[in-house]
Amino acid sequence: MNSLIIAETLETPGIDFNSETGVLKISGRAYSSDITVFYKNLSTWLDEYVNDPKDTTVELYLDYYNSVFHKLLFNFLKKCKTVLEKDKKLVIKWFYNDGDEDSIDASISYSKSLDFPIEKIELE
Amino acid sequence: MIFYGIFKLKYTVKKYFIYIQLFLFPWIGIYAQRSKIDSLNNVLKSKIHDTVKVLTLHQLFLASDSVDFSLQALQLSKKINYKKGIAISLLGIGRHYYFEGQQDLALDYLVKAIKAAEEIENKKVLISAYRLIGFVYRGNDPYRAEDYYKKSLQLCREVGDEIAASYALSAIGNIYEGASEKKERALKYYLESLNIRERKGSYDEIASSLNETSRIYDLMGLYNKTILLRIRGLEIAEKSGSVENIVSLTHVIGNDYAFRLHDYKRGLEYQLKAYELGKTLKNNFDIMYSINIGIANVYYNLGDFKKSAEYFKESRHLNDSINFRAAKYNNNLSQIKHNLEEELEKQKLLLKDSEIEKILADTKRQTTLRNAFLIGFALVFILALFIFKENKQKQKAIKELDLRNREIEMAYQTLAVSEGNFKQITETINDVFYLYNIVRKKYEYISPNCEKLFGLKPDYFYKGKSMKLIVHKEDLQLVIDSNIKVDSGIGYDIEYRIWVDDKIRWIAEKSSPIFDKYGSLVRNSGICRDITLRKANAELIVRKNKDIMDSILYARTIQDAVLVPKKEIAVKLNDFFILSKPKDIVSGDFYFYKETKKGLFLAAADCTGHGVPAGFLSMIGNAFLNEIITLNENVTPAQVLDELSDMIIKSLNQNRTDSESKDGMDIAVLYFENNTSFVQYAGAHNSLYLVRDGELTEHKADLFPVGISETGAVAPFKNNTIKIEKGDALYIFSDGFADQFGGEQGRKFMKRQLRDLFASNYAKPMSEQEEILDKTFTEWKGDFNQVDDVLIIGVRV
Repeated sequence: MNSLIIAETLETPGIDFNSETGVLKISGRAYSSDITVFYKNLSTWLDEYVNDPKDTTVELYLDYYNSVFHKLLFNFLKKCKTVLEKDKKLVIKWFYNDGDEDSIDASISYSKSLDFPIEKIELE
Repeated sequence: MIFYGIFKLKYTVKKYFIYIQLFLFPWIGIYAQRSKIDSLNNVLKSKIHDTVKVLTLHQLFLASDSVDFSLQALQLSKKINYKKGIAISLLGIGRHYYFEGQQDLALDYLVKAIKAAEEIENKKVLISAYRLIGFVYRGNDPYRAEDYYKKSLQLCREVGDEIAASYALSAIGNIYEGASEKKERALKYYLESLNIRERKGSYDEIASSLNETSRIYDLMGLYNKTILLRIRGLEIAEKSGSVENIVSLTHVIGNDYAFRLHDYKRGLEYQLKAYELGKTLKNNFDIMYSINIGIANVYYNLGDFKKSAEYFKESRHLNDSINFRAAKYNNNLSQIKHNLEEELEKQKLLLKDSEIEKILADTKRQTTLRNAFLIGFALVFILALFIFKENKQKQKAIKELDLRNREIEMAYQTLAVSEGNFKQITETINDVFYLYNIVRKKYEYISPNCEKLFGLKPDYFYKGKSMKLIVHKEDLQLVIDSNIKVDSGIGYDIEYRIWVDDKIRWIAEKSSPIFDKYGSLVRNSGICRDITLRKANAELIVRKNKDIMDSILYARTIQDAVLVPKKEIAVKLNDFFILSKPKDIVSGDFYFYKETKKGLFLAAADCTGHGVPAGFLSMIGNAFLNEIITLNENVTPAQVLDELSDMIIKSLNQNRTDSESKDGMDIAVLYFENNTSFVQYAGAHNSLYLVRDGELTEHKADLFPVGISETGAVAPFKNNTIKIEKGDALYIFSDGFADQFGGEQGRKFMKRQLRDLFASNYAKPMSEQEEILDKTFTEWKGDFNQVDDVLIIGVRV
């Protein structure tokens, strides 16, 4: 399958999902209140990917996201978790800027809701 | 005359074979012919039978192309009633006149020749005569020509002369080649001719057939086959060892690959090969000129413009030297002519002298006469050479001129196509395009749509009349100013109104100056478009926008109306602030204040999203909070949040699995009980900050929202009871402030800075703190957009 690359816009973050390496990267800011189309692209790709996944690393570099995206991200991570059922490894890395407590809180909150560890990595 | 005749013959052959035979060295041929003529003359002088004489005269004619021999042969044949001789002579004379260009005379003799040949059934003469008549008719009546060719072909087959047949076949093919849509038929004949010649023909004949066949393939667009045949031609040229032909064919094949098949790489290979080999040739200016042009074009198409320019330059240089050579040659020629004239003058004088002396010295006279004759003959010979050379030069010049003409014609064609395209564009679009000559103050082009757009024919403007008459008076100054601008070389982009049929029409005009290669202003080109509809739409949008804005503004007043006025809060809380900065007019953040018998509730809430949709949710949230506390004044903040969460899930149907609603709230709720030193707090995502003696303590909120959470599980909120002292400052807030991007690096403000801000200013009056926060926020935001609604509540205990 092809990799999925969506360029970052003013309203939506950039997507770089590599089907070869299994590194799924989301980076940027999410302001848009209507991300139906955006999410559709993302989930269609992911549905295919988890059928025959690689060892997967999710890398999140999210500077800001609104509450709409918050929900989307949770569903995304939940779907990523299904690679475990295919006996593949999963690592979720949450990159945050120095001192961004909201991000740390969010990663903890996600980790709890997902019941899966999230590595928190501070960016320089 | 002798040489001229031979030249003409050669040239006619050349017509059927363009590429090969670029370089002929006729001298050798002429010397051979001369010795043949001499020996034939000797035969003639000897005592032979008259029929042999006739045949010898005919041979002489063939060798010299002098029609006198044929005329003599005819006379003699008639005298002795030698019918074959008559036929042959008539054919010869007819042929001679044909090549001389005297078609009527030629036809006359050829018809006579046929009559004579038919009488004695001489098919050989008939074959040639029919073919020659075909040649005569070829130009004006190709169908008639075809009939004669076919008669000739028929006879060839009867006598089994395949080579002669191949000439007839090629001639027929040539007729079809000239007729459009009959290329296939031409190909059939050419192929048949080629077939014969490959078996029996000379190198020249095969090459000629390959050439004409490849030409047809080219016309039919079968370029692969064209190239195949030309490569075969190349092989033949290699076999016959003609370097000139190898060079020209290699060059032509290179052109085919490059410009027919667009295989520029292969084309380049051939061209470069031709180039290298061509350099070894003498007198290679023409072919090298052509090769250089070829290579330059190939490089151009390969995108190597530098190399392309190099070869193009070389071709220019060659072209110059071709012209130079021609000029030099003409000079030489006139010099030689002059010398010859002088020589002749001298000769005349010599002759006069000899006349005076002729009585005195008979022997001397004879010698002089012989000398004079010899010199005279030599002069005639030399003159003939020059005439021949001059002719060759002329042909070359004609060829060159022809090439130029074709180049120019092609340039014109290209120009015509682009002009056509341009016209098509300007005449089909609704816009008006114009070209104005600034120097002559005249329009050079106005597209015909002008009348539709301006209500005035282009002629009106061509006559130099101004459009000021129709411009709306409020826009007149703008138009005049723009015209002045363009005269000084500055383009403009304006919108103005004109009157057409008593109605206002909006025009957008964009004009740009055009400079010549010396940088002086010569023209301006412009385009005018009817934007009346766009303007009307824009007005509509402005009106609709205003309607919507009015609604939103009114929504804001309703939203404000449901909130408890700050004045009312101030009665109970003497030192507090509520900083509210909505992203849009209507806010998704809201504060909540409610007094009970025993105390008061204070909350800072943040609904999902922002703007009108979040505003709806805030109204619901406000109403629910009121309802919860009114029904049970003894609830704790945590219970308030639990109930609020339940109510939102139910009312928004979030418990349904198919629910699309992701909406909810982040909120911090405080409860101050009268006459106690405690505050109760519960939070959904939104924490409480408490500053005492410059020390900030954070009371963390629960990490789930009010409303449906991701997991769908509803966890009870935690109630916090916190000891407070007089002078403590408490802050609750939404995340809008800390999430704002800005500062020098466009980063988030973040909670740490917010905490520092609270800790360092907590002692100041709350109203002053509000100002500081407001100012800090505005400065931090700078030119960035506001990310979200902002709400901060500060209370002094």
